[in-house]
Amino acid sequence: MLWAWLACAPEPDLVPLDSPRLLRRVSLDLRGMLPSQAELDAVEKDPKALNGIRADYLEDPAFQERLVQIFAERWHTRVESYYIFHTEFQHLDSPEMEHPFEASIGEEPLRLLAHVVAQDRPWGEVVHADYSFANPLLASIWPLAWEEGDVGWQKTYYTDGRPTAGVLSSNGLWWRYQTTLTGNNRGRANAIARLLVCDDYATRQVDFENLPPLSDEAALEAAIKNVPTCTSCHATLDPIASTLFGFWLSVQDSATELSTYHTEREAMGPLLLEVEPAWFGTPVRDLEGLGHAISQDPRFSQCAIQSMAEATWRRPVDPVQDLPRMQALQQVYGAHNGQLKQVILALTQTPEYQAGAFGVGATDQQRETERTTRMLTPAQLTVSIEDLTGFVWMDTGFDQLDNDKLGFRTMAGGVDGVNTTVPLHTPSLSTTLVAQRLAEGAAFHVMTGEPFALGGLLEGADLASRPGDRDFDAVLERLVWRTQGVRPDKEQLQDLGTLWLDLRALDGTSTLAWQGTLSALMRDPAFLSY
Amino acid sequence: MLSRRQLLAAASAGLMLPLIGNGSGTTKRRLLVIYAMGGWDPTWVFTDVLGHPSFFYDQSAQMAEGQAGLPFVDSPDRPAVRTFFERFGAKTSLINGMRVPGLTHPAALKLLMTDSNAPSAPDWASLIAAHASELELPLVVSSGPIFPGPHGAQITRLGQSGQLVKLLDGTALAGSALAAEPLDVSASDAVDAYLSERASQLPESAFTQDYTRALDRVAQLSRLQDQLDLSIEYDEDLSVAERLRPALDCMEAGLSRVVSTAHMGFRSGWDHHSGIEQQSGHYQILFTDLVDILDSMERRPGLAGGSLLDETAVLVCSEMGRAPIVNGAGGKDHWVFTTAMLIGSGVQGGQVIGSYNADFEGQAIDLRTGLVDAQGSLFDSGHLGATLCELMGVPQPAQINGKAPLEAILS
Repeated sequence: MLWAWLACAPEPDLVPLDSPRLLRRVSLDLRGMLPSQAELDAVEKDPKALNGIRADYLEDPAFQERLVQIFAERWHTRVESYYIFHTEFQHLDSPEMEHPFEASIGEEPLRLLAHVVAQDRPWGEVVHADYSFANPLLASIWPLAWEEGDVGWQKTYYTDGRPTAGVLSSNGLWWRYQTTLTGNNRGRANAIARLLVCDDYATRQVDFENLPPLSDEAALEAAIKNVPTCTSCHATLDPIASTLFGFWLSVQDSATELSTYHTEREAMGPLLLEVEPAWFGTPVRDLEGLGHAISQDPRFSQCAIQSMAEATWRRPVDPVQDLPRMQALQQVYGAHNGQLKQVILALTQTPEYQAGAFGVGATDQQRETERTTRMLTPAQLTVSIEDLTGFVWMDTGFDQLDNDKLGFRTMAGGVDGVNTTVPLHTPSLSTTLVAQRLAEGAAFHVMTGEPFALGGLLEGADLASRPGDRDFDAVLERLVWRTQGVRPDKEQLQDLGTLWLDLRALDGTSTLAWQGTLSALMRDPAFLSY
Repeated sequence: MLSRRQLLAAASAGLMLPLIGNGSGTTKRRLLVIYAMGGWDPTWVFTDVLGHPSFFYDQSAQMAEGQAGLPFVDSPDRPAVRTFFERFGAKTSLINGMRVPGLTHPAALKLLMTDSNAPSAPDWASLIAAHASELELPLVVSSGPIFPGPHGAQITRLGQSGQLVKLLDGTALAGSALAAEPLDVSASDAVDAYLSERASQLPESAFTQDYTRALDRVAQLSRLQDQLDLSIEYDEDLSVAERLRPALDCMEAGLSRVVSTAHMGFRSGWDHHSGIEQQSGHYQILFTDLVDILDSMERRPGLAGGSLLDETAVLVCSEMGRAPIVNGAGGKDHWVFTTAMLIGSGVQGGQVIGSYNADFEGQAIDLRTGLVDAQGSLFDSGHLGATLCELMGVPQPAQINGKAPLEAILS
């Protein structure tokens, strides 16, 4: 009944996508890739089939991979610079290991978050869990339990006696969010508040003009303790920071120092900050206690729901306008023991999510805020193109749509977590060029394989096929259907046929004609948007 | 660099839309923004705290005057600073005591660049570029931060290691682990023509409009490749001035209205909670680059007869300042008052506007005169945005909340 309300609450100004395009959106959002032709066919035949397919998507391993991408956009841990380089580790000292090193570190906490959601664990486990996730690279540099021969990302455990507090105990989070000698973990405490309860101290209005003169460090420390302007933040920020001194560094460029938890330094927090550990007034014993206190904070679930709504709606949540929707989603969360997967399912049924166009009565505000068209992110492009063609754009060990040193992550509209913190939602010159070269590379890859063989992308046609031939047109129609979720009309097929002939005329080969036509399909506005 | 003859030839062929001379002056001024990332310490160059009993300052420094009497903090360790002020003081104004009320780098950067915490608020560079959407490359990001808001379509990134050129000429695929080749120019043109037609057949939307515009821009930039050398040999030691060369080429050619870049100093940024003396090295590198950049802009022809510098305003700023006192680690912590420099076209140079008080806090100023005035306004990032909008002739965005520009700095 609640879901029915979520799905059917009156939003007459938003026109929903038709079923195949909605399936495509759901598939891209939940798995990062296009739906299969069979799934499109099923939904075309019976729109209600979407419900079952969507349920299957949520159990697909690709869903967990997709969640890693979704969390990366918000947690900003996938940066490309840490205190130490891969060259610090002898076995990683090669150019090909630079990207895997940087990507793996930032991915550790994201893997835990994704696991909790995908495996129907209560969301609170992200700050309770006694486990983390690692791949062979991380297992080779950090104190983690690891079975020789294990491959890929695996659930694992730290062996250095650190507290068990889920992502709060992960090296990956604190390699990304470092602290300074005088910052005393306050920046890290703010990262916790921002990421887990959506309370960013850094955005609070502070009346700096009415501070007393801060002419020396003693005056500054006194102000933090006594001046209302300061205590309004520090009274709650410092007790959080006080729990984090096991990650305190005596030197910043030592691999051992960075990799290991320092139990003996936990007591430094209360000493240096002169406050006992606490979470917004609730005393806690240590980092584990902090995790439990966070999970009991009502803002913890609200923030998780808000973050998921923003990820699926691709826009900020408005605290006033969206309040009824957020309250309904909160009930879904509560009814399912804090399983965020159920919240995501409910979100995909909301009118905001399903909107494909504005109705005549749409308000200016709706037109300004709602996203009826979304642009594929670099991660969605990567996965979709690989799924479609088998092409993966790697260069010297760098995933080219997942880095900015050699590659094109932000140029393709993605987030680097430092200079670019919000994804691009509309095509630019840079995104267009990245899409062009990716599509051309993928098309080349297809045509140098066996595209006409059974299971090939062009199965059913051959090099002798020509526009107007039944086999040729059938392949084109299938490709448009698969890549765009739209049945091509006669004119579109004719235009594609004309393009194919124009390309063939250039060198007299069908190979070039197909290569160019395939690249066009993978650059089509209806492919790049969803 | 594009020669004047090449430029005119390209323009006459309809490949470029020159800015200056094609409309009213103020609306066509260009903007270069340089962000000193990490929070600079104004006491090393911009403001006199020498001899202060409790502030930490450069003991080797003394006050000096540059061109037009512009005062600066001089030191034999930073000869480039002296060179800059002696050569460009008359074109430069300092704004001391600017308030950017963010204590963390991300928050302060967002406020400096947008005067807003809202994720959707665009930065000044994107906002101004949005009013030059008729150009091929309204905003070129050489490096550094960007908050595009709704104006993402106007942004072109050069890439950390010059990736844009590799995308343009197709060599981006050359290193692919799986064999991959781009289409040749003829085939690519055929595909582009199809896609352009295809986009026009889809229901009109902001997405299809931006898609079509981006296709056009790629085509125009591709055609200009022979005349416009965007390539550059990147390595770690390449200076910001050298990295900016392709972006300035775009500006000179009338393709771009705004260019932005980060400046990381001599290593990985200006954020010194320990070792504050390293600010000296950062400033030396920054001002070496500034001299090179302004030199280059003076040598480059503008589109209205003068130099590119005559037609371009340059903003150099940092997201925060640093506390006046040194901390226990020999560094300086974050401070919500900082300094900005405005240089070049439209700027009344040779001025120090605003001031720090005895506690190193910004003092209120009269925005019309630039003089300290207790009844005036504390200059902040919103006023900076308003000033840039006025300078560039674009309407103020709502995020500024109607703040007044700093009239005193406008020539």
